[in-house]
Amino acid sequence: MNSIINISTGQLLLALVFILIAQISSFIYHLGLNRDIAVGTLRTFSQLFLMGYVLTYILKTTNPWLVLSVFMVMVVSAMFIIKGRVKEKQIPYIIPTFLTMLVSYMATALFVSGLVIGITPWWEPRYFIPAGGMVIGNSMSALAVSLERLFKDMRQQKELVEMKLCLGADYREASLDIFKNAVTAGMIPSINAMMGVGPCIYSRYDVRSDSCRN
Amino acid sequence: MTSLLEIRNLSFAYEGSTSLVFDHLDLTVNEGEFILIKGPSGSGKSTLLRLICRLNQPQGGSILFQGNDITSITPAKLRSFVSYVAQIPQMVDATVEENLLLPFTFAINAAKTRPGTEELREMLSKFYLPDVSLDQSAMKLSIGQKQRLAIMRALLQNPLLLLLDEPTSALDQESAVMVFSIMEKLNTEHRKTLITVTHVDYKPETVRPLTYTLAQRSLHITS
Repeated sequence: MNSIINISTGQLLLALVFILIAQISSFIYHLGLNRDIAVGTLRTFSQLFLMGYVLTYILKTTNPWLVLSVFMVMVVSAMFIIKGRVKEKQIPYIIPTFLTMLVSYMATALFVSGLVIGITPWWEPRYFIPAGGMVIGNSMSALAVSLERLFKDMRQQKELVEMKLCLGADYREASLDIFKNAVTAGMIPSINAMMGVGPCIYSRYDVRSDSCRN
Repeated sequence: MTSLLEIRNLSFAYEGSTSLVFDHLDLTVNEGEFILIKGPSGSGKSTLLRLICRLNQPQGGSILFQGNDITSITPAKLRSFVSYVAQIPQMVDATVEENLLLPFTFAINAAKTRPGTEELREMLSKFYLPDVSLDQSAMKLSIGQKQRLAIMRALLQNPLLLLLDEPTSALDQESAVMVFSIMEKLNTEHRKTLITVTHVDYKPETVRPLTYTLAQRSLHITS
């Protein structure tokens, strides 16, 4: 069953019933989330609506610079989202983090589209943009969690880090445990997702195709 | 003869503050000396020790170790010669032995000779810790025991200069007497150069320290 299912606007709006449940829950339990949920819903709708039009144009483009510009906008947006989540004001982490994101996302997206999928040209927007989006989307949360944990533990364990520094450790040795914990905290959601990838794919496949049951 | 440590015209203010903690501070420390720095809380005693081992950076002046500006030495290398023991002793969540051998897990100390189990046991006795076993958790020790262990750990690196920051401030009288006795032995028996800062009234029994008072943003010799 490979036919495309057309979803009407009415059907799409039906999904709002879950938002309504969240709104009612927030109202009953006085969670104070009604405004945030409403704003979030509106933003999601308008952004996806706008992106739908923009992507229709971009995915057809033959201009590599436009594709790379879109990629750049995606990385910058991810950086701003991370900046919003990480409450660090003293340590200037933004530029190093942005450069790391740009280089590693670019390398990963290139690897996936150019080598794994093997498309020509490598920047073909129909593949490069979704591949980049997946890489950025998945790693953005991991980065935010890792950075938040790193800065928090550095402050909480300042005396312990200083003790190691005073015993001759360099900055890497002195903060190694904190660094490991931060990376682990960031990677746990991805590892969990990989652990449960079988059942998840099965449930998706189960909905999509009857052939899976044979 | 070059001094072990020489501080010239040191000035320092905390980040975001315009008022100076030190202004044109000078200090010369020769090998084998026992320096005692006294002063009220908040006068900058701990900060001075932190500047010497590069945990803080001065705004002006220079600190020379064996004639070399400390900024020309990597922090890790400097701290393998100059050991700083903080006011509140810090231990990693591991055994006493692992804590004592912690400095030897760092690259800068890799070439140094690791003390053996027997040597560590002997030292524990000398540091008034005869009942502490090497395989017990260091986290379960009292603060007084941790302080003695922290000084012992610093000594195991065989530093040329030991900086002790209010080593008895968190201790009861009995533990404080033991730590003072250890400090004096470090100087008389181990020939270590010590700089100790304290705000308590401490008069060494077996050594004659050079005593300074930290006041008006500078050091003043008192004996």
